[in-house]
Amino acid sequence: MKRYDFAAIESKWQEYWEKNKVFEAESDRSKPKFYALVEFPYPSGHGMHVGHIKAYSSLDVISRKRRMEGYNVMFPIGFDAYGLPTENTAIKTGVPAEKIGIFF
Amino acid sequence: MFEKGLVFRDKTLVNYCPSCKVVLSNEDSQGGKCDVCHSDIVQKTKEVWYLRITEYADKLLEGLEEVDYLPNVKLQQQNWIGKSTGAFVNFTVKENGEILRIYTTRPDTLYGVTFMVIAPEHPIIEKYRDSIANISELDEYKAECAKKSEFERTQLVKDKTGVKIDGLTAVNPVTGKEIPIYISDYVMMGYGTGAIMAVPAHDTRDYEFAKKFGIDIIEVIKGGDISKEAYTGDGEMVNSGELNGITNKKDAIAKMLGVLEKLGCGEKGVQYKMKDWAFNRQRYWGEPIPIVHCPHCGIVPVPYDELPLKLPPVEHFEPGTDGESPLARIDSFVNCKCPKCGADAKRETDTMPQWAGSSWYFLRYCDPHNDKEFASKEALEYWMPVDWYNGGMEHVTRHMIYSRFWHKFLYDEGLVNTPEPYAKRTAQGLVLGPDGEKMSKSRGNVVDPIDVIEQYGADVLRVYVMFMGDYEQAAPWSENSMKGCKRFLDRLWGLQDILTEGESYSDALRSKVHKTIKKVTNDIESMKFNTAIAAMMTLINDIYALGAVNKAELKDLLLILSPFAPHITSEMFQSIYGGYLNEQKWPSYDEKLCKDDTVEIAVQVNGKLKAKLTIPTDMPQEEVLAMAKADENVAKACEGKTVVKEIYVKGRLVNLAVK
Repeated sequence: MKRYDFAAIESKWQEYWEKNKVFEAESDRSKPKFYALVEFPYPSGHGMHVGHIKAYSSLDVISRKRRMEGYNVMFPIGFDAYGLPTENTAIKTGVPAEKIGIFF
Repeated sequence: MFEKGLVFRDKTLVNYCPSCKVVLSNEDSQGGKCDVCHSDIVQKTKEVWYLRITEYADKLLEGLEEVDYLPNVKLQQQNWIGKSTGAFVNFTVKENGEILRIYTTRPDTLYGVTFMVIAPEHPIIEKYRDSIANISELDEYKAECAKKSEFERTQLVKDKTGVKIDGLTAVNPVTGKEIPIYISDYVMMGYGTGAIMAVPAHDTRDYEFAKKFGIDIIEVIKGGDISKEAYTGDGEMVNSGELNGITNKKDAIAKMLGVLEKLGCGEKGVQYKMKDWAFNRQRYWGEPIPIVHCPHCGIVPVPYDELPLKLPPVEHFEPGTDGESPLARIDSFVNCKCPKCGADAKRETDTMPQWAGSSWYFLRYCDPHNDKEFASKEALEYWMPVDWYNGGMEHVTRHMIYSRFWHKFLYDEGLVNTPEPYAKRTAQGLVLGPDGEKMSKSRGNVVDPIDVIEQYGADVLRVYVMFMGDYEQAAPWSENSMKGCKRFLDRLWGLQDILTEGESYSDALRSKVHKTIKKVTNDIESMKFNTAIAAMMTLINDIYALGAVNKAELKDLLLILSPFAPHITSEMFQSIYGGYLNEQKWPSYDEKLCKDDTVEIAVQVNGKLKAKLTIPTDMPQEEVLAMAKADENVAKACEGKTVVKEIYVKGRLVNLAVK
């Protein structure tokens, strides 16, 4: 048996999932739904650490299980770009607030 | 909200962060610190916008009954809202007949009121300054208070300070006695009525204050020794006129409410700790508040057809130094016509705080491309409520309470279909640094997930983070434990070397696989991820001990592990079975095959552990008791004594009571 090459295998599946929109919520409303939500990270990436992985992995585990159980799952992720935390980063870096999250 | 009277403007003392240069709500400044930059906040008089969240206090409390939140989450919200019932009581000022209104949760102790305390900023002082002999002393004290934050004034343990007002005297409405009025920093205008009654015999803070200033202390509840300290317990009412002899608080309060109503100087009342929500930022990056200030019409909302009001593009968005929004510097934004009368008018330049967007973002995801409304009724009906919301405890008395308020308002307006936005709320425990301390840059103990992914891969990181302890508890980072998770996945990969054909579980593993599926299925639901992973580790150990795994067994192991380690399981699934793991169904288990065949039970004699027995799970009670008594140690403990009682808790323990 060949060695488990995680780097190659992980990027292979990430590409497959993304390309095939495996985790996109479906518009089919005949299925039972499951709406999972987490508080998003700041777009600056400020304060990002493994604690976020713990917060997000749990509902990701539950969401993946729900999909296999036949649910139409919506589990969005994004940036919390509202207000002060983002604007303070903008002022500190000189990057306009509306562009933070694109450059960071 | 504006049209429904839930938005108002008020000039009051506000929490102000000198570093961020913005007004903060009470939720934003818990513990006297700015939530964003952790600077000490100061008090500042400013005219600001408020949302009347207190109007929804009862609904926010009642709503907690119908949701599945962690007990601690509910409790924190209940405490933050802080509903209390008591009475409003009017005290008259002898010299001028003014009314000082107070709120108390203990109207039963009114006979023990020997002084009053009002906020140094109380308007009655300004109004009667000419008749107050020591007005300059009061002014000085007030100036000192202005330098302190609300937190310093009300929360910090410190010496009681205050000044007696020389020239104003209050009258206790039930005793008719004259009592002094003091100013002190711990009474705030923004809390309650800005005045309190003091019962030194039965309140610790009032007791210290009375001792320091030599004020009378009158006992009205028996049970303590008020010459030594305040008595805060219950007891028989004394020195209290018609209340004398009553022995419980509830009856005494009811009786006093009757007295107050008869005298016409008070009534039953409800108070909340939660205050209205200071809703503004003197900043650029926020939704502009769609309000126009007209010299003739006053405050006028921007008409619906001009909404949403968008931020103008700017070069310089740094905040002003005078607590004014950068938008105020943009004439083309500020200057406008009044939507009502057409006269020259000015736009509001404060923006909304970051909590505005986060109060409804989850609604928009239900129908993100809708250009007519924030989401269609059909989309909301299908997707809402959020079934499971997981996040940090720090959001419980901020974002969570704000967004529940907005949602309840939208529900009352018929714009959303559920009274609560989130059906379930859970929270994760912190991930601590390897040194057991909270991760922080200054301590240099921050673990970057990207480094872990590069070294071990995303699957190992996911499995480890889910494995590192009880999900709700804080747990330190351990490189060793993470390596254990890597070994676990390597051993999973290695199963391909001992894989045999098979379309159903083998006799050797059948029960173990069913049990593991059951455990993982249930543990995921109760967020016991660590024990779910441990069960799968055990199964892999069992497989290696046996030396073989068949295709049916491995397939279901891959499926139940896939939510934790989706990459490696997808790869193995594809190479062994063909096709895609993500298109598979969650495996089921047979309850009958999940039963443990044997179970270990404890045997106690008079509550002391004497033996442990391994018995068949379904062994009848008589046989278990007989087997227990036959045990050597147990028999010794019972020797020469009579067994008076035999208890068997099925599958757990036997207790023999002997004399």
